[in-house]
Amino acid sequence: MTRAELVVRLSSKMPDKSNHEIEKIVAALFEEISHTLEKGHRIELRGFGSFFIKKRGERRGVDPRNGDKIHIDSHHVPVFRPGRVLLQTLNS
Amino acid sequence: MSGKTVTRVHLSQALRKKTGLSRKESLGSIEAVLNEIVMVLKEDKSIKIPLFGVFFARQKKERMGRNPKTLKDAVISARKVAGFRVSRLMKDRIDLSLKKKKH
Repeated sequence: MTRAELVVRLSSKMPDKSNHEIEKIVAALFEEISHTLEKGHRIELRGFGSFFIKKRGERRGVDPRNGDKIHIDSHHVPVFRPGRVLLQTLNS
Repeated sequence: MSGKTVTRVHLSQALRKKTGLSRKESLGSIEAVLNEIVMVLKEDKSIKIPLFGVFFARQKKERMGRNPKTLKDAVISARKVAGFRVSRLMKDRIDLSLKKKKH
């Protein structure tokens, strides 16, 4: 499912808003989550889950294309951990 | 990582600035969006948000594990889990911004 299809589904739940308005809300929400992560901050959305930054150390790796040994710098990756309510809903 | 934790309340303030919604409306729409994502995942569909990433649900099989406290073997039941794969663009942007911050 794409963001556009998500907006269509939401429009039946938010009848007082136009699709254009919902589109704007969804875009703004994910934009804000991205910006927060870019600052290195954590986002906790109780029930849904949390986003945070994990630091990966430098390591030796292998270039999968040619098998060469390469150096992989330490870097930061965003991680999502699903919340309890989300997991319960999936399993109910 | 360091520092601050952002919650629904912070996100809703940012949303109000961007869209001009009321406090109540903005909190309500965040809730509606998150809820709908949960419902879509429940239907075993993934959701792709451009420039952000993909949310997906996955079925896990039953497997043997061990209770780390008692060290007793235990069956871990089959279950569904949710996951997120970050988009290449967002991943690169985050790493770049955090690298800059340090130096």
